[in-house]
Amino acid sequence: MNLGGYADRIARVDLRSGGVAYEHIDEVDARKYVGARGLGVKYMLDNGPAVDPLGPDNLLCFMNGPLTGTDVTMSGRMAIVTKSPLTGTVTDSHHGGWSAARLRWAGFDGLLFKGRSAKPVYAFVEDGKLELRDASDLWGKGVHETVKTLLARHGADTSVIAIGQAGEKLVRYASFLNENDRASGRGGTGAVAGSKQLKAVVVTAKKAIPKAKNKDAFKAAHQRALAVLMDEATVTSPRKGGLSVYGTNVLMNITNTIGALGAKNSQQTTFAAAEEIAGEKIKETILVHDPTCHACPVACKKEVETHGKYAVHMESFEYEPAWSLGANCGNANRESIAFLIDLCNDYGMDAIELGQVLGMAMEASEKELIKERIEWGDTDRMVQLTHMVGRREGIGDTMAEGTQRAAEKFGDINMAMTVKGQSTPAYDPRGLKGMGIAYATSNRGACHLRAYTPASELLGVPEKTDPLAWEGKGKLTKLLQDLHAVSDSFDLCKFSAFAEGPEEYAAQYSAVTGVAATGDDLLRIGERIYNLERYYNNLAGFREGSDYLPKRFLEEPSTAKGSEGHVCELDLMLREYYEARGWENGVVPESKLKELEII
Amino acid sequence: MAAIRLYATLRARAGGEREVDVGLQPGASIGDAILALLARKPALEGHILDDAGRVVPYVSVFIEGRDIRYLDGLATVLSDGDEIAIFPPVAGG
Repeated sequence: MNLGGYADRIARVDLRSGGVAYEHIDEVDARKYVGARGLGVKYMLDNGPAVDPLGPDNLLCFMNGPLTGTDVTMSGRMAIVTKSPLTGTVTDSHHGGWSAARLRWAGFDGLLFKGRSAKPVYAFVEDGKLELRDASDLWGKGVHETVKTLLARHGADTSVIAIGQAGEKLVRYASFLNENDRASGRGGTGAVAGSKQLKAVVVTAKKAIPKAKNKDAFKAAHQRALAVLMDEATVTSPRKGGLSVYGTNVLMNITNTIGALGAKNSQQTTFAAAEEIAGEKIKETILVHDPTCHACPVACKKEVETHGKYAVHMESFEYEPAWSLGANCGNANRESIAFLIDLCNDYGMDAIELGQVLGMAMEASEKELIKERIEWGDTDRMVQLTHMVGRREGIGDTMAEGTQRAAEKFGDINMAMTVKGQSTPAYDPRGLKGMGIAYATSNRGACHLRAYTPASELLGVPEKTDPLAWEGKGKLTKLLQDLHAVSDSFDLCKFSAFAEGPEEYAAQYSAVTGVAATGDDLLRIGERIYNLERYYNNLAGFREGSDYLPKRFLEEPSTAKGSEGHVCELDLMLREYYEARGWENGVVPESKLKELEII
Repeated sequence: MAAIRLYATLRARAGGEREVDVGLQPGASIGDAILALLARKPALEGHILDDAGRVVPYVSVFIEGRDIRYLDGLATVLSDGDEIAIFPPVAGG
């Protein structure tokens, strides 16, 4: 392949035989699907969409893009792509830190695992080679101990991406954790690894920044992107912007103010004690450090330390888990939230899904649908249940199946705030209408990151829209889905999109790879990737009527200031969205697949 | 009296105060309230209103949870007891 940025090396690992084969990337595929998420989904489609997610034939892909590990700002992301055991869709879940950059510096764009090992193994990657090594001594260990053991074994310049006991126990929302606290959280990638007896991927590499194809163009493009990210007027401005100073949890107070913060399993749209768990309060009370990722001046990670009963030192006090384990469970105890997030990280579980299944169980308990007593905000009970889920003990075994399956078993599916089997995140679509259409049409189940409409509805990027208006949100969602599909394929942090636009991305992509591309070209690639995912899902059985929202968002009006009286007008937005997409009630027609050169 | 709640970096600029009381006459607008706030907290000058007196891009002003862009802007008349909140640019994920 003659494109810059790529290592042009993929490892295919047969876990059954232990064999490792190396291959190049098809340049046509690289131009069409870029890398990371896009190329990962292409490998998934080629592997066949009918596989059992927890069977040996499922593919588990660790994917970089052509910008990963370069000097491009915020380029420290990796996508883990597989078929989800939670949703049955194709899924991709990204993490930051340094593992992605190190994988590139070790000479790889991707690692593809298939089959099932007869015994626990981990993959050790260094100098363009991958070896499978015995992980019997690590099986049964939490993420933190696994990371510590493997770092001690492999020394400096090493990243460990590991699963905990939840992955081993096939908790359907088990995740991979990188460097202790950076989660590829959603979709159950950790359970897929558990089913394959793959405990970890360990990468050792010294810094070796790939050279851009066009150095002068790269210098100009890089400076331009850096300038907009650093601008003091933007949310990304280092040590000045809200995202940099308070982290993602800077959102808690604004979503609460406008009546878009779900509480008590979304039975309410505001949380009276939101201020106690918001970014401002965290900074005042338990914040100790602001870590960052490869090539990122924003440093949105927030490291906290607590003492006493919920003593912990961790670095992922984010908005999403602060909401799911906080407001969503009626819990205003920030120390307990930090402790619970860390516990999720150690077991290797998606904290959004766990918080939602806990909130749903609290509602079930309140309605006396289950015999167990689980009170709102009972933090000790939440800790106990987290252990039970991670170990699949007692009621935890049912909760380990995810919110939707557990709600069905508890007897009321309407308690499940899920789409395609995955729980909704921290934005109530009665107060932020764009999130409603974004959740419903997300290709990986409910997700705020496929189309981050709050960028428009709260911040005003790319343009300000009214959070309570449904008109235009179908088109906005398509635009953002396409944009994020391509940034996830570079793989760049999505937060770059708060300052950069398609033209900034195009200039950097072109300079690194040598592929001449405009912003419109990138949006076209993003559209192709989004349709490729939808095509996979259609073939996997997601047909007409698969894009929906929980009844609660459609029929129970908000009672909070800012959104009082509002429900989410999904049908109207879906009509606009499908028209913009050229889909037939959620299904990609053959003509669209041909137009986008997918078939 | 009216009270303005400040968030994130605006709160830090105002000395860490979550809420600032601004004395207002009946019939006052949100624009009047912001000018009164700036008189009490000069460190906020330029961070809520620009030189032309418009709300700075990406800054959000809410009355009772509603962005004033979708009310009558800075001319929106306040009612007794209205909750006012001002945010600097915020976003995350």
